[in-house]
Amino acid sequence: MKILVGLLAFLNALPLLAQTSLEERLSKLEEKMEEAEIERSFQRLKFSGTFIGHAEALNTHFKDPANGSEETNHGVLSGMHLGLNFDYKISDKIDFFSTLAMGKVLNNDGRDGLSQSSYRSNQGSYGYTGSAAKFDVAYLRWKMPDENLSFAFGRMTTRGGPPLHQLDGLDRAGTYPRFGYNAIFDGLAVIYNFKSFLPENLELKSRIFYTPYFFLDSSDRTATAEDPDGEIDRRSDQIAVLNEFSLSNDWPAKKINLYSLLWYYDHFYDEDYQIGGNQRIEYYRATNHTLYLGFEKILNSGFNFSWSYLLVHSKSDGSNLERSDSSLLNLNYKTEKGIVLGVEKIFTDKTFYLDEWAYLQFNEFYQRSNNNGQHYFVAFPFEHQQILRLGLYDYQAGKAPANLYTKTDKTQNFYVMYRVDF
Amino acid sequence: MIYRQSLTFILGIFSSFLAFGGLGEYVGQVVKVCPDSNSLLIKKSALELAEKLHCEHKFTADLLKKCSKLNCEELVENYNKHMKNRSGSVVGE
Repeated sequence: MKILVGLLAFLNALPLLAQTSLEERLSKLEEKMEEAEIERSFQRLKFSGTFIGHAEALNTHFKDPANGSEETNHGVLSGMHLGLNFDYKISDKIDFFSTLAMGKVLNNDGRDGLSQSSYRSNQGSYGYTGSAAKFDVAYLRWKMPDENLSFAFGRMTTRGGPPLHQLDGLDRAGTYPRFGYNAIFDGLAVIYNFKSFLPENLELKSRIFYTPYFFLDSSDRTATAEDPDGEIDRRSDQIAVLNEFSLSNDWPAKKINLYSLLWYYDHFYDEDYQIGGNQRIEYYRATNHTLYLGFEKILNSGFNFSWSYLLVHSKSDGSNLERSDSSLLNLNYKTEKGIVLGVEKIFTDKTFYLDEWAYLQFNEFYQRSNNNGQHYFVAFPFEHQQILRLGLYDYQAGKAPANLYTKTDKTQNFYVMYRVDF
Repeated sequence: MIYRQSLTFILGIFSSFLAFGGLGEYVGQVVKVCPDSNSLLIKKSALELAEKLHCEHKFTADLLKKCSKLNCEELVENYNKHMKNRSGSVVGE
């Protein structure tokens, strides 16, 4: 009888013992993970990267209205881009970010259509120049004791801004709106976040950039550069002010972003635009205002919409003041599985100009003047942060003599892009 | 001796590459919403989300079941913010 009672008591206690054992195991596991986390917190170097493969079927039909001649450009081009990020946390207040990257057409090297050093700097590893690695990012960020204030210095992440990330259903990965500037800039930045003065659902951030150009002789580092008309001024100042306002709400969209980018430069030298023939150097100056209005998760659905508007006033010493208005619209739908379907619509006028140096497509959809076109795309995410995007750039562009486009062209380029982030 | 030191150094460098700097912040955000959540379960969910960003994984679904205040969208957003997105990709962030 005693044996039977003892056995029953033991059987009753079994679940409790099992539970205790499970809790102990969980607790031990957690301790081990915490140990690993503490060890990791002393490791300040973080490595990540992005590999992109891109193939595009070219199909452009050119027509010269002056003499009626026509020609077509058919073929397939394949390229790749690799970026390796090495970020280092120097202290709680100082961070260093860097990206070493290369972009090339397969088995082709040394391609570089840019003669001017300032444009080559703005382009970095983009534009499919070859396998030589370049630093696209190398900057330090200091957080001030007032955590709302920070400073940055170096080669900054100005390219690839919104809405570019939405093509692949990703989060924002660039600073300047892509339709304001898609280029890499070196310089200083001051950033202030006004969150202390605002309710939780409102955000206001100001980012001020000073990114001067220097024109130097290619062999003597202290001498200014020269052109046939004389010595070029050593420095051209460029200032950009990016104000970002965001509202989180349920209606009409979960997040509404309104970004305003104002930039200004003066005394900029471009060797290809010395056209006045007045025996003196002709400098450029321009002001730009880019407005980006974005709605994310409209009516709590997967729909996103954005409108980027670019207004530029520019003038060179040898020409009249020019004004340009252009728009880029983006409508996309992201499913619960992360698949993105979308369309972009672009309108540019005859004097449109965008510093679109950091590109990955083989067509001029985003930079062609006098352009009316659309870009259809669908992106499929796979496990381990892989994305496959298919798309079609379909646009018709007229003559734009001011920007050296003397022919009309009709382009329909289909492309496939594969991307993996690691 | 030099060989062993070099090996230790190389292993040290590579192990640092595997660091997940934002794991603490990710767990902290979830615990903020659901203080009773088991942190090991949150970490296992993070491992699942690293493979693919959806909430049908075993531990992720269990985490959401145990914490009704948290929905899938918020969890994925939190994961992206602290674990996936590169700090510094927007100047000043």
